[in-house]
Amino acid sequence: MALLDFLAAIFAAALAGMGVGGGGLFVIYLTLVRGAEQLAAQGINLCFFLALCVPSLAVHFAKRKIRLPIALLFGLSGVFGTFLGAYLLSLATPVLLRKAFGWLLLASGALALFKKKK
Amino acid sequence: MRIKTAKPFLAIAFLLLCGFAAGTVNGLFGTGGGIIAVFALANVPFFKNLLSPKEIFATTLCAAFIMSLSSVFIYARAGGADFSAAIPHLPPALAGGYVGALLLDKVKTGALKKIFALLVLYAGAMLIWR
Repeated sequence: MALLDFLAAIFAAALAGMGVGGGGLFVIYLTLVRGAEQLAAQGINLCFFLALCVPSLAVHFAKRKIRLPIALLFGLSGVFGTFLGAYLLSLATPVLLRKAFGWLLLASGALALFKKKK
Repeated sequence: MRIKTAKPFLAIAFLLLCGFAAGTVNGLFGTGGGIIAVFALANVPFFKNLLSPKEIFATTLCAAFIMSLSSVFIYARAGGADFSAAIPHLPPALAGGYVGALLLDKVKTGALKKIFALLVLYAGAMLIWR
């Protein structure tokens, strides 16, 4: 299982670094393959995502692909949102949280599948 | 949906609103803020004309990093999540994140995105109806 974990993590991180799947893929692996509780998987995934972002962002910074004012504007307004999200999380039962995450995946999967190629 | 404005003020207000929504999703699910961020930057002409698709991705990754930092602090304070379980996954995350960022310019991800969209749809259905 340790090897499978390692392969899943490196694969999900590489894809996220390329803009495929984002951090959500690892949550899917942890919940559906490893049987983790949704909340536990979310906590692990947050740390996982922060770790993969460090080298990824360093490369993007070096290539001058990040527009820092926009990223800061977006990220800092998002910080306020995380408080609302965490409050909603405190109200949700584990089953409701899992189902809501399922709906988020359905919506984002459908968006990605039917997005017109530009 | 396409926001038909090239006015900086309206575009920034819309961006702030989408940032708040992305943060809410990030705080609730520990992921998922990025898709809202990409949607916002790719659909507001003011920003769309300013950024290439790869810049949109890199910029939203940076924004999602800021939101996720906030979420980790909130989760840690609430005490609901066990972060020590994440430690074994950090080395492959560092290596994978680095390789992925290097490959961004070299690999065409269109087909890969469609395959993973199918996987995500399947996973979503499993989580809902399990």
